[in-house]
Amino acid sequence: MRATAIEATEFPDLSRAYRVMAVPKIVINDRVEFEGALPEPQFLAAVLQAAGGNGP
Amino acid sequence: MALLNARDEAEVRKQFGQMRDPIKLVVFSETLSGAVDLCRQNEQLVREVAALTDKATVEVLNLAIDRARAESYGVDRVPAIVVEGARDYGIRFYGVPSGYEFGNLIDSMIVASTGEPALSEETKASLQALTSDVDIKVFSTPT
Repeated sequence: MRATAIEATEFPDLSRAYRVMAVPKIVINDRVEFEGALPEPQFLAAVLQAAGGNGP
Repeated sequence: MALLNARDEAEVRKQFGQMRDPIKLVVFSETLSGAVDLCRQNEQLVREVAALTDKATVEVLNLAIDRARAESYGVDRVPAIVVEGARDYGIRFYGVPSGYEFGNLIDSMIVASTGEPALSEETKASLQALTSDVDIKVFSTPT
């Protein structure tokens, strides 16, 4: 597990690469992305989806 | 000139009452790039924050010189902060954590120190059952 907080203004190349328009923007495994905070159950669902779904 | 004012310091000291075990703040800086001023500011902020608890030590490394350490942490940009508790929980900050991110830095230090995330039992169980890697990037701005 890696959780990185990125100051978008200091890393314009990263912000461009991830198309950051509004903040906060969350990107998980370069697959799932959303803007704004999510309640815990929905955040977890996004993490599980990005990790490849439930189960093997 | 200090980065934290007296009120910030008092508030942070109060929150650090929740600290338990020692943590380490590993800072990555550079001296020969355009980011040198931000790195200096980042180092100063980290040292000021660490001074508000006896449970945090600070180690400042150079991205170019301490390549192996940077690679082991997966750090490839500066300024960067690794918040490490009893083990590396994967907590990283890229960029000076001012504004909103400052609160996240303090929270990260506390959670790394207690090892107890404020998550529901269901969430914790689901995360513990994960077999693949998860990389979460959160972009924010200082305002």
